[in-house]
Amino acid sequence: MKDVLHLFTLMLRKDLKREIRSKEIFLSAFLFSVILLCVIYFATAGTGVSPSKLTAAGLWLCILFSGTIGLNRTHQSEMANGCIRALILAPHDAGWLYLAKFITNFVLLLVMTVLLLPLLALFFHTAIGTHLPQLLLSLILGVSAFVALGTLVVVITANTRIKDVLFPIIQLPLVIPLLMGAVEATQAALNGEFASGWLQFLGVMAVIFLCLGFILYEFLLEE
Amino acid sequence: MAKQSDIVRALLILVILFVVMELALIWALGIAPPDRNQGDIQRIFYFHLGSVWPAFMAFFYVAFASIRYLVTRLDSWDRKARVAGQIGLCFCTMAMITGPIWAKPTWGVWWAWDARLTSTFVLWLIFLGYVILRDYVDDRDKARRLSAVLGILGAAMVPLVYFSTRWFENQHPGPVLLADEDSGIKDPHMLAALFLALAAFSLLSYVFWKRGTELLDLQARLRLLRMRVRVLEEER
Repeated sequence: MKDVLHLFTLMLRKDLKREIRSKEIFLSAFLFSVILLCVIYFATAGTGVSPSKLTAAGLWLCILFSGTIGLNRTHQSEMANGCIRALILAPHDAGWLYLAKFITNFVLLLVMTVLLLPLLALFFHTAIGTHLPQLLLSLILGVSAFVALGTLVVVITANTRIKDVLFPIIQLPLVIPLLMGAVEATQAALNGEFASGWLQFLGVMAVIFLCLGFILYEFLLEE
Repeated sequence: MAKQSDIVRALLILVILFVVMELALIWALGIAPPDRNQGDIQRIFYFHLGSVWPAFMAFFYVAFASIRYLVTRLDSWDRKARVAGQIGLCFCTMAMITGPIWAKPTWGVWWAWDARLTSTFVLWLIFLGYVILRDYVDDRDKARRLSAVLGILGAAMVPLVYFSTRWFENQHPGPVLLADEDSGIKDPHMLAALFLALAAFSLLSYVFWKRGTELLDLQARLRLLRMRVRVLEEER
C-alpha cells in the first residue's frame, strides 16, 4: 500500500511539475474552453433560448472538447523521448499506473472546470454559487467518469497512425451516455434540484470504467 | 483441404437458411395480418428487429472473444472477434436504414431522438470505431490487443447506452407513437413471422460470421506459408 501511495505521489508530482513549468496543456485547454463558450453563445443567440438555460450544456461541451485535447496532450508528452518506456518499467502493476494517471488527469480537468464556473456566471448570467455542493458533486462524478474512460482510450488511439483524428472519433461516441447524465445532473443542480438517479448513473459509469481501466491497462502498455 | 463432413454441414446450414428465409418472407409479407393502426408499413418491423438482434448478439460476442483473446493470446479468437464486429456493424447499419423507413410514415419524420434509435446509433458509432481502428495500427500484434480492449469497452457500453437513452427519453417525451410495436404481437401469425425473421437473420449472421472467420483463417495460413517459402528461399 505504501508503494502504491509512493507511486501516486511520484506520478502526480511529475505531471503537475511538468504542467506548472510548461502550462502547455492547461492553457491550451482553458483558452479553448473560453473560445468555445463564446462560440456557443453566438451560435445560439438568435434562437431565443435564454443563455442561463445553456449553462450546463455549454459547460459540458467545454469539458468534453477541451478534456479530449488535454488527455491527448498529456499522453503525447509521455510518448515523447520514450517516457512511456520508463513508466512501463516501473515495478508496479499497470493498473496502479492507470489509477495514478487517472488522478493526475482528473485533478487537471477538474481545476480547469472549476475555473470555468465564474466565466459561466459572467457569460450566461447563471447563479453558480447558490447550489454549489450539488453542482460540484455532479462535476466531480461526471469528470471522473470522463477521465476514467479517456485515460484508457487515449492509449488505444495513441498507437495509431492518425491518433489526433482517431481519439475524438472513438472517445466521443463512448461518452454520449455520460454527456446525457452529466448535463441533466448539472442542470438539475443549477435549478436547485438533486438528480440522484443521474448522479448514481455517473458514479456507476466512473466505477465501471475505473475497474475496466485497472484490469485492461496492462494489455495496452505491452511492447 | 476441407473435410467432406464440413462441406456437408455448410451446405445443410445454407439449405436451412434458405428455407427459413423464404418462410419468414411468406409469413411477414403474406400470412401475418397488417397492423391495426399502422397497416402494411408495420411489416418492416420483422426485418428491422431481425437485423437489430444479430447486431447486439455480435457486439456481446466481440467482448467474449476479445476477453478470450487477451487471456489465451490465440489469434483465432481475435479473428472471431474481428468478424463479429464487422457483422454487428453491418446488421446495425441495416437497422439504421430500416428504422427511418419505418419512422417516416409512423412518426412523420425520418429521424427522432427516440431511445431505441439513439442507442442503436450510438452503438453503431462505437463499433464503427472498433472496425476502423485496426486499419490504422501498423503492428499486427498491437492492433489485436488494442482492438480487444476497445471491443470490451464497446460491449460494456451497450447496457449503459440503453439505460441512459431510456431515462433521457422519459424526461424528454419523444414523438407520440401511433402504436407501440408490441401492441399487435398477440396475433399468432405475427408472432410466427417475428420468430421466423429472428431465426432467419440469426442464421444469416452466423453464416456470414462463419465464412468471414474461415476467410481470415485462410489468409493467416497463407501468410504463414508465404513466410516459410521466403525463409526456405533465403536458405537456398
